[in-house]
Amino acid sequence: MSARHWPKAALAVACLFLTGCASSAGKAAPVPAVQAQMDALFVDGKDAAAWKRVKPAQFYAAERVVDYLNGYGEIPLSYNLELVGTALYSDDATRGTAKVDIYALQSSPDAFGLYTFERSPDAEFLLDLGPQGWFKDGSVAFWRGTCHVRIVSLAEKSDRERLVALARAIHGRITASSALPKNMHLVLTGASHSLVENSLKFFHQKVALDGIHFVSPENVLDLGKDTDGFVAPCGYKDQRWKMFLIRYPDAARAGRAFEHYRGRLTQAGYQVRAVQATAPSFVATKPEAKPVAAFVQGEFVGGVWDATTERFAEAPMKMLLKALPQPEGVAQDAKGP
Amino acid sequence: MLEKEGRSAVARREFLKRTALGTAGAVMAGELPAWGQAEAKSLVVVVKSDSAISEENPDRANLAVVEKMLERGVCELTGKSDAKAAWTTFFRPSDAVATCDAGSHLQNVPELSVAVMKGLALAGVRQMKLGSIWVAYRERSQMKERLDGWIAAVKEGLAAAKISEEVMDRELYRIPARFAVDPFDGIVLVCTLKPHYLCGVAGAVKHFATLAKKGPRVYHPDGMKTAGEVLATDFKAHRKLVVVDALRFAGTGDPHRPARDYVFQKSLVLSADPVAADAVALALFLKAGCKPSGDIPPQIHIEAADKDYHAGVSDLAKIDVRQVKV
Repeated sequence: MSARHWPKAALAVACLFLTGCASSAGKAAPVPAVQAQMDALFVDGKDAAAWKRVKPAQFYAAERVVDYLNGYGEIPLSYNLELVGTALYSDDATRGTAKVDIYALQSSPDAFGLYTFERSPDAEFLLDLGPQGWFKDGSVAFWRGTCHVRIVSLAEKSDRERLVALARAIHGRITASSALPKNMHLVLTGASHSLVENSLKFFHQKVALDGIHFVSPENVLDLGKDTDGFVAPCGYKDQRWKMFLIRYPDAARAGRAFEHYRGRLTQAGYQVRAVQATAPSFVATKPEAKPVAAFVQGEFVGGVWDATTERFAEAPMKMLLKALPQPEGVAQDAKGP
Repeated sequence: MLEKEGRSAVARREFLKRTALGTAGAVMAGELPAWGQAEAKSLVVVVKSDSAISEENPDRANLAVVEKMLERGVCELTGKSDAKAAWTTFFRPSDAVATCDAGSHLQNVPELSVAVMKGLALAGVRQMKLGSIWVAYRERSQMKERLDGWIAAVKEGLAAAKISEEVMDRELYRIPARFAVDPFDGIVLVCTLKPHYLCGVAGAVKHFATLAKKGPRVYHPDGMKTAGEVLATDFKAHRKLVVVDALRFAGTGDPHRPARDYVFQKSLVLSADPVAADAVALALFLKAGCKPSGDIPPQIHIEAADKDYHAGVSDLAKIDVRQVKV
């Protein structure tokens, strides 16, 4: 029987994250203004709740983030990363060590997106950090303004209060206002009370969606830097489903993505049934696979993945469709689950 | 979900069902060809020892036991009863051979790197190199002392075996790595299994992509589906031995810190076929209760290495799996 263990020497591996595979860290000049602002966030000593910054922070511009984070760098890049800074801290009081990573994204919604990518609904949520923060397994994170901040304890045992105190100290230095992604309210309205709290994810590109919900190795939904997407895990009694909504730059591209998706499901052996609704839509089923539903309306493609039953694919899809701005003269016929 | 439900979800159930790891099959003998030149049925050896590693000290292992496990593994792979004969089946005295470390979230135990180098010394190869990503990037580290324990343990093991520490090459594993650039005849790929945010679970196929001429980034998209391409291009001509350090798996894959939640398998997985090694190691990983990272089915890049690039065998039904207990 396998046993789980927290190794004493786990810290050893951390160095690679701190240096990364930093073949040329520092060669590429990071955005100077952003770096100067970010440097001020790496508080020290009494400004850092008595945490000591071991060394000056290191900075990695977007083009070098993979050197620091290895393959994971693809994720912040997909959220329009400008700069990531990292510093190691020590705490005399608890003899703890922590690594602070601060990500500067191009926009506040991007910072929210990266934050949602990493958050887990079973974390302890901290409402005094940014619009939101969390603590789980010796790690604290929050987003505020255009920043996503992640602090991880590298000690064998972490002290929650001390880590949160460091997070608050950094939080206090970020003054930018925060903004949620456009159209998020549509998903919240569509999911209504069925949304699993603190589980909604925001993304742009396929590399992030792959980690949230894997559709296909192929970019079936034609996602790119110019698309905005949401995945909202939902539940009602013993039923589960994931609601999704993607906004494309224009209706023509949304229409093509919808048709391509429907075609690929058919090729993959799904039975695709058209659904009577206010927009072109379908439910796709296949033995041993969870039902899928999708619609296209204007520049939006939305629907449901991973539904427990066909009914809970179709009905939530209609709920989401109903939440969208309807074209004039279209009757509202959606029913809730 | 298209691929996951159409192929991989079923495949995963089959994987687990079949992970009884049967012992049937003929012993492979003679020269092991570079993969792609074809054995009809791939052979994978799983060597287990309860005394290889202690859960109290999980980043170190018992060198003598690891050596014995590796010896038994290569003997079983080659059908030889003698370790030297087994190693020389893979690598000739005229060969230049490189090995690597696992690095990243879950480094292999230093004793395995030492045991591999001792095996290559036994084969009497003309040149051997250990390309360690920890050695390559140590100088830039803010936390040098933490890497130094592993590096010192390897050096100590090499010294005891009278192998010069010069075999530890500082440049070989700088990204983009030189494993496929420098004129090596063979590669001993050492890797671990860990949840990975781009391919679900990282093992041998993904690790070969990390060592590729162009670096790993071009293989990152789409669940790293194209990772196996390097086995059909950069590493097509190399004689390959894969040794998966499955003494412990990483139970979680937080990219922001080292693996902490270990699951002890206490095994090494060996094969000349990287794809088959990955398929078997992944089955063990899932059976042990470890979870892939995120929603990415790890079978995708392993199956693609087989079906798209013909770089090995991913179907467990077509893999001859031998279990050896030390």
